Amino acid sequence: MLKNILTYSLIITSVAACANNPIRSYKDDSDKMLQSLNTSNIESTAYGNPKNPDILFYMEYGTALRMMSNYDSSDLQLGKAQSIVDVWTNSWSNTTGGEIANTAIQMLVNDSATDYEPKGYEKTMLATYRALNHIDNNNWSNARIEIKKMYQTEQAIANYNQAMYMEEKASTNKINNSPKEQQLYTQILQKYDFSDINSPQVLALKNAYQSAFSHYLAGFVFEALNEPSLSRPGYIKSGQLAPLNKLSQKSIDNLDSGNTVRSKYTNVLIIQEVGHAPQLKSHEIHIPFPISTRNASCITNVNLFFPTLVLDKEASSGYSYFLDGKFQNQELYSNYNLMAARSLHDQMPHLIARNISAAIRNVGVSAASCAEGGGVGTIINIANIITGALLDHADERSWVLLPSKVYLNRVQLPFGKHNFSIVVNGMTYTQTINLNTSYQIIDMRVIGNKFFLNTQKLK
Amino acid sequence: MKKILTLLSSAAIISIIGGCASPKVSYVDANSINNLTTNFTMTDLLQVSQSMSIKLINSGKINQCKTYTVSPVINKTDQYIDTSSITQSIQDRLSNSNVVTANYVVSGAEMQNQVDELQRQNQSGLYDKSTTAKTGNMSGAECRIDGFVNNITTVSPDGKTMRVDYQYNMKLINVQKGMGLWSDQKMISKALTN
Repeated sequence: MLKNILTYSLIITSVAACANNPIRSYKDDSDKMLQSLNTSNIESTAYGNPKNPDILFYMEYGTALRMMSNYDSSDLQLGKAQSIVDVWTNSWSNTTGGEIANTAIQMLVNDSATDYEPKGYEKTMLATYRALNHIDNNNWSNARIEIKKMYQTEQAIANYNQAMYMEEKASTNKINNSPKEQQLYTQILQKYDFSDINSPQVLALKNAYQSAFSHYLAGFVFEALNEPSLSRPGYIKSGQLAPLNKLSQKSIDNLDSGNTVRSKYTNVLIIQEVGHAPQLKSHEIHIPFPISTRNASCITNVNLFFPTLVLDKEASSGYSYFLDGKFQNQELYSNYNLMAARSLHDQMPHLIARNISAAIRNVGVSAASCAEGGGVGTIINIANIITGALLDHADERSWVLLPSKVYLNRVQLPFGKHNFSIVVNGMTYTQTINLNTSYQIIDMRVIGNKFFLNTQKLK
Repeated sequence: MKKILTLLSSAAIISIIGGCASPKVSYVDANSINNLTTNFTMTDLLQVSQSMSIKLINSGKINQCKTYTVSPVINKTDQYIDTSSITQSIQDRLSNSNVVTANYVVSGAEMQNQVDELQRQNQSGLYDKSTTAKTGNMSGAECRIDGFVNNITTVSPDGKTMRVDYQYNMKLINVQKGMGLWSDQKMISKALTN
């Protein structure tokens, strides 16, 4: 028995050394990253382990490089992440019969033990950020490729969700047919706080992957490339996803009336990204579970682990800014706090099924210790508790450097120099903006106490 | 405990085997029906352009014009449909038809390339003037073909079936008179049931 426990411990140690470290807390890692962003310069911040980079490292680091206006290096990192996503997208682009992620390891260890699979909104934002990098480099043709990738990825996600829905139906049937699993399911529903992921705002979202901001940007890119037949659906979709906003309908009207380009004027899309996307923190639920064996009856404590959202409290709304001294109105287009909540909401049936399977596994070991009783039973139980504590925790990984909210505004200004100013946390930032083409973007980011302004390179 | 170790080993083997599988690429018939999505697909695009071109040719109305052009097809749907492919496909079918006597002339969308080429030949000083295409000799289109595609999505009350109806409209217009010579439509409907 002791030999087995030692072997088991060895496996845990080996697994902990892997890239997908199942005992890694990404909440702790991202806390350090965010704190470092605030206290030191952005270049010296650690975005993960560069010696053993994974998709999350590429996404976080690529975002930071973009904030620094280092568009080429940013695209290199985001491109590495995109090539991983592309493999997944290709398997789901035209079918609902692609391969569901290998759940065996997830069931036996935890979700963190598998390669990180970006959430739906992260996949579409990856292509969106790459499009922004290309626009900032004045390469609209490459931006067009990324925009197409963005909406093709949406189709793949829709197909994947359809397949997951069928899986969940099967899991629900299994739970309903097992009194043990049903008992655990009922207790989970009572003990986990679903209020954040079941709020009316979260349920009002069409899904967890379509972003109004990404689709407005699609409309803008196609408009700039004089492709109104593709621009129009971009604006339409952005309007469907953010129905209270007026900018989308105004852009459709301008497109239909051919009133888009004015000689020696620039159509400027101003993007304000605020805060960071929610972090995930593993939350433990204890459920007492009675066990009856031939020899004894015991009560074991089943520990279940679910992710909870930790929102960026500093980023509640957009910051006012001025162009040539004139106040600019902006509209909230995408709220990634809500999208992350919706993503967790949609993932919950899978998380519940995984937790119930893990719990049944642990109950099996506890039943053995209950039947053995005495010293041996205690050793088995201690081993179970130790391995449970080490291995069982919810996956805390998510793309934290995404913004929590994105605001948009669009103006038409004459070619030439214009003064931009914004007040962030009591500090006034001013910059001269040069406009010299028909379409340009200005992208600003406020994160913690830092402000970054990304402008397009001049032709 | 042994059972757990066995399961862990099995999982590792499964993941190794899973990692070895490589995707396969093969050619498929471009005309085969893609019925995997309710979106407007290449199959629909080919169907629409073929059907509408044949209808226009069979009407005989196109031959009432000496020259014609095809305006970019307008996308009124909420889907990213690259309608330039429909426009091009219709133009191809009309131009290559033995029955159509009217000649195609460049549309407004293609005008920039035409102007650039004429300027290059006439203003760059690089060409023998006896071989250059002269400006001011382009033929205007006597007729214009306009088209648009629209869609309506409906979901059944139980949410299980989604139906998307696409409507493609096309018309032939005499440019000088502003007179409609021919008009028709093609409907495509798709349903997705969960």
